[in-house]
Amino acid sequence: MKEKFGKFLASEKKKLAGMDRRQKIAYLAEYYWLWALGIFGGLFMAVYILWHAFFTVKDYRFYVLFVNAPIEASQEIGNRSALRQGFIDRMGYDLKEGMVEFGTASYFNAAVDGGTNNSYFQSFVAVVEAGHLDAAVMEEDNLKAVGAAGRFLDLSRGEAADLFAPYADRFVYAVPYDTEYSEDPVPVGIDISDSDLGRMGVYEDGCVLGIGAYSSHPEDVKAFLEYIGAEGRQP
Amino acid sequence: MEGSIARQRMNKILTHIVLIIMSFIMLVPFAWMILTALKTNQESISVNPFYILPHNGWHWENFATVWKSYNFLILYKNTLLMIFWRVVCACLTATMAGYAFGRLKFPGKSFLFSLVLIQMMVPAQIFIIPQYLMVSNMGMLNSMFGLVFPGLVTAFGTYLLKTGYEGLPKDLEEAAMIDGCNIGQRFTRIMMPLTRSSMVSLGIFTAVFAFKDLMWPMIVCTNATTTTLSAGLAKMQGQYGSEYPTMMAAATLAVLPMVIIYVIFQKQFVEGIATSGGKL
Repeated sequence: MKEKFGKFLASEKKKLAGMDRRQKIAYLAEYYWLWALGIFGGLFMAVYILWHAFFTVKDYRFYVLFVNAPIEASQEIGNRSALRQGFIDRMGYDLKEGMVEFGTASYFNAAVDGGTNNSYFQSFVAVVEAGHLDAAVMEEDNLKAVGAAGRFLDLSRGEAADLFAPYADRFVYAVPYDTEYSEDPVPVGIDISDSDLGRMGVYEDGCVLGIGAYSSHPEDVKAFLEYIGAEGRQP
Repeated sequence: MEGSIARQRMNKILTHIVLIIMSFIMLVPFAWMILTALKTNQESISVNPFYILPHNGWHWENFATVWKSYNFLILYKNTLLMIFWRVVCACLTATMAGYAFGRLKFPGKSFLFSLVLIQMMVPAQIFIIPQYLMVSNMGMLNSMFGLVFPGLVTAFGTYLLKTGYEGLPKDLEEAAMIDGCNIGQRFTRIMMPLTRSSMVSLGIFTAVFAFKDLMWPMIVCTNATTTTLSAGLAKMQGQYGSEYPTMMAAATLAVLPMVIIYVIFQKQFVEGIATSGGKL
């Protein structure tokens, strides 16, 4: 292969040797425009990707998703809401360093159909698995079903146990599908029905907050809980 | 003899009646969407089947409401750009890969092509998380590249074009080789133009699937200025969930580009479906 390529290269050099500059350009354009296009396209892509990889905001500083939030709620709790702006101000987030997402376009009920064939549920799973989702607010039965599949942090273990201990009396439990992990119910959510979200009437039948299983900012979730007025008790 | 002709004519008339009825049934959802978009909310939720047309005037302002609430020009721009780049990338990569798999001999060809086939056998949802992580790590969330990313290469297109190239006679390529064409010239000047119909099919399929794609734009583009029509509509569902006329006005506006594309490329659409044997 190497030898064949060497021979090919030598023969092309020989052909080019007998040509003037204009003829060389015409020859290369005629026979190698596709290669030139490929190299140019490849280089452009490489530069474009590297530029974005190094110079654009790529991480979420805080990502909360309000699942099945009713119609008007996006104005009150979504990305254009005063609630989001208030939290950004309170936490002092710099939006040039990380994005803050208060998502409302998510509609599924894992308790009913396990999220099967539901694009919203699948995108929810992607965001959780990517470790971007910090918290999700939804109805209790929905959260239990999602939590049982291990997509919410177990609030009785590790760092979360200390961090969310003040909310122990509000814990919502689910029995994990993975029986090797636990056969007993584990806390997967915090009831926030009496918080501002409850008072705003966003979730009429109450709501529960779960912390993303791979969240990098559980301490920010705690700050969010305090921000929306879900008070914890000192253990 | 006369009886046979009369029977044939009767069959023809009956066939046409059935086809006309079926056509009307196919059009009902579109007609319902447009008529609902012009009603008041109360009219739209009326269960009376005789309330087909708006009773209290034609409410064109529903279109104005959604047009003002959501910047449709940006949604159109994002959607059309995404479709354009996905079609360009899919056709470019698929035609090259199809030619390589269909006409060239190289070590590991069967193994590599089996990898392509495996990709077709696996549900697309499985790729969502790795693709999302890749786009996220490249810093491409909320960007056009992020939207186009899953469409950069296509296993279906590679397969379609491979079969297209395989169906072409070898003599053509050999004649070009004798005339002094190198591999690039044989590919671009001789072989590629002959797979035009397969490329058109692929382009149409890619365009329709890109237009319908909901999940990917919803994941990678959370920003209102970078999202597409399908994801924008999903968000509107949250905003106008019980205001059916507004929702339907948004849906009507959303399908407009596809209707225009279909009207322009109607012949190619039909040919494309016939060539690939697929359904849209």
